[in-house]
Amino acid sequence: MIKQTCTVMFVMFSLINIGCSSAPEKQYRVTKYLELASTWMARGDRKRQEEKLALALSNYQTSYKYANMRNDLTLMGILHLKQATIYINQNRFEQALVSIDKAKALHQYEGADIVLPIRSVEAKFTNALGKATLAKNMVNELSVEYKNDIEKHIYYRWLGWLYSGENSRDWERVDSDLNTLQQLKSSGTLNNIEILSFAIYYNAKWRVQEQDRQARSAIDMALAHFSELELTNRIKACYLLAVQWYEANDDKDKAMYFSMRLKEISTNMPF
Amino acid sequence: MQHSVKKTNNIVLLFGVAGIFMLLIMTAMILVNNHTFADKTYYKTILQDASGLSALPAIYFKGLKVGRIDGFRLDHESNLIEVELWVFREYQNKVVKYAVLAGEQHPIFDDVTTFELILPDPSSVKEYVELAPDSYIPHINSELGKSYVNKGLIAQKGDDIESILGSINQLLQNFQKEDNPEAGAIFRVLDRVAKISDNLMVVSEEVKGSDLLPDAERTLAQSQQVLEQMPKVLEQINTTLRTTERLMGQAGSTLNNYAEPAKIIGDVTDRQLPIVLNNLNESLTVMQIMLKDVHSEREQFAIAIHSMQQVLDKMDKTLQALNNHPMLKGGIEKQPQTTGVEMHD
Repeated sequence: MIKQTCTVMFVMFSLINIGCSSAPEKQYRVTKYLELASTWMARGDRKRQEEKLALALSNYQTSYKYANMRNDLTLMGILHLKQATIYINQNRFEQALVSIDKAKALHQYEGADIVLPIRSVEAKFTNALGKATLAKNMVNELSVEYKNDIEKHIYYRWLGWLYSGENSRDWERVDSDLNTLQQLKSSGTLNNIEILSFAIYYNAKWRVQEQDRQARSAIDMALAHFSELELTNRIKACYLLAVQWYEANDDKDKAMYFSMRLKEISTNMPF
Repeated sequence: MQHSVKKTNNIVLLFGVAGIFMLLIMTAMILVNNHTFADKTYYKTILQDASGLSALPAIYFKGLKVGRIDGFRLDHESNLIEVELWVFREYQNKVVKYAVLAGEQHPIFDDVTTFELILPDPSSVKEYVELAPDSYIPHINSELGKSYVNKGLIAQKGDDIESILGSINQLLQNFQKEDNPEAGAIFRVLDRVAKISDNLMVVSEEVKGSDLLPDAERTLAQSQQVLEQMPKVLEQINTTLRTTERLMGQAGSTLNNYAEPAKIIGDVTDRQLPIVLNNLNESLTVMQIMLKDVHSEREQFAIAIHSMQQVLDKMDKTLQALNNHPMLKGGIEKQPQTTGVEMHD
């Protein structure tokens, strides 16, 4: 009788213990360099968005140093490509090409998984060289490749519109894409806020260019978005769009007011 | 994974139910251990002393546990202890007429007592007659028990402790006897110690006569020689000091020659450099004060950095523990790492 009770007790305790404990998952990975590289890359990204390109480049180089110390091939490749985009923005095409080649070498000889990012930067490079049609085709292909990643899928479709320079746009498509991205943002699953920034800004810009009725609300949305991100340079760009919009619509008072705001925000900027 | 309220309730419920379940099992186990559910037959006995009874000791028969003391109380008239005990139903047939209880005190912890049920000697009793429940079993030291022993109904077994004490006594007596081969062992040990101290005296005498002492004398003689050399060394130091004094004199005259460097520089740089230097000097003074402040606070910095590291370390461990928790596993999401090159520029 006692033996049976003891056995039952033992089984019970074992079950309870199994339920309440788990094998400790100790981290054997050291991520010191990775964290440093990520921090510097994030800083570089921020500086790039603030259009402080020289500083961004220097941050990317620092980040690359740590990525290299860790031998994180993907991160190294991405950093080469990010540097290349800055060189393209600065019209330093030779250096851009060198950086792209370095990323390609990482893929070719060590199998870094950066094929699509390389193609993306090559498309940007092609567009910068004036071959807009080719660039458009390249990004459209990328949009197809990323059909499972809705964010990037939308990004490359919009980039295709940007490179093609088409005049009349499919506004329904634009609205639905924007809605999708906004939903991702509100559910906290948007990975790259820059994609939403890109869409919001160009939505406003294209609507102003096309004299669309909803241009004003698009500008307001863009202002709210960039204020939230504290990107003063983008806020300034939005005010510029507002000035263009009101000047085109012969609303001189508002145009003057927004010119004043534009001037104010420009003088307050520390660069 | 988000930590939902619904889940929390389930967990709380689970723990509550598990607690009650465990309580029930523990209670059942205690009751089973106390033979609450076993079939028992109750008897009585009377003892002189209640010491050790509070632990409700068991009753053994030939090493088997056959029963237990159930309770006891003092009879205020006779000043004897009335004890109630039970025996498992299956051993009830062992409680027979002329059977007695023998209490044994533990040799070290004298409060723990066990009882043994001793049956009458089969040679002197024709047939075992089973006692009715609630009847009286005498203790071996009681009048009735003693009478059973005297009549030869009970074979009195030897008292273990008493025999051990007897043996020790015998051993001590043996030590004192002169014809014992082990006699006087202690005195022999003392004799050996005395011999050892004699040997020590001899060794110290030998040290006195050896070469060890002349060595020490030689060392003293050498130090005397060194002391004799000292005046020469002092002379050399004196010479060195004189040279140093001459050098100091030269340094002094050099300093006199450059007593007003600002004037020289002012002349050379058209009086602009002194102003610059003055400004620089002021800046340096400010900087010096700042550095001094920082320097004076360096202990604080060290403490702050140290505590910061400790806090971070603890936080890291806490987060790891949380991440390892079976219910919160994956609860702390990692910041999504941007590895794409999609950008707005």
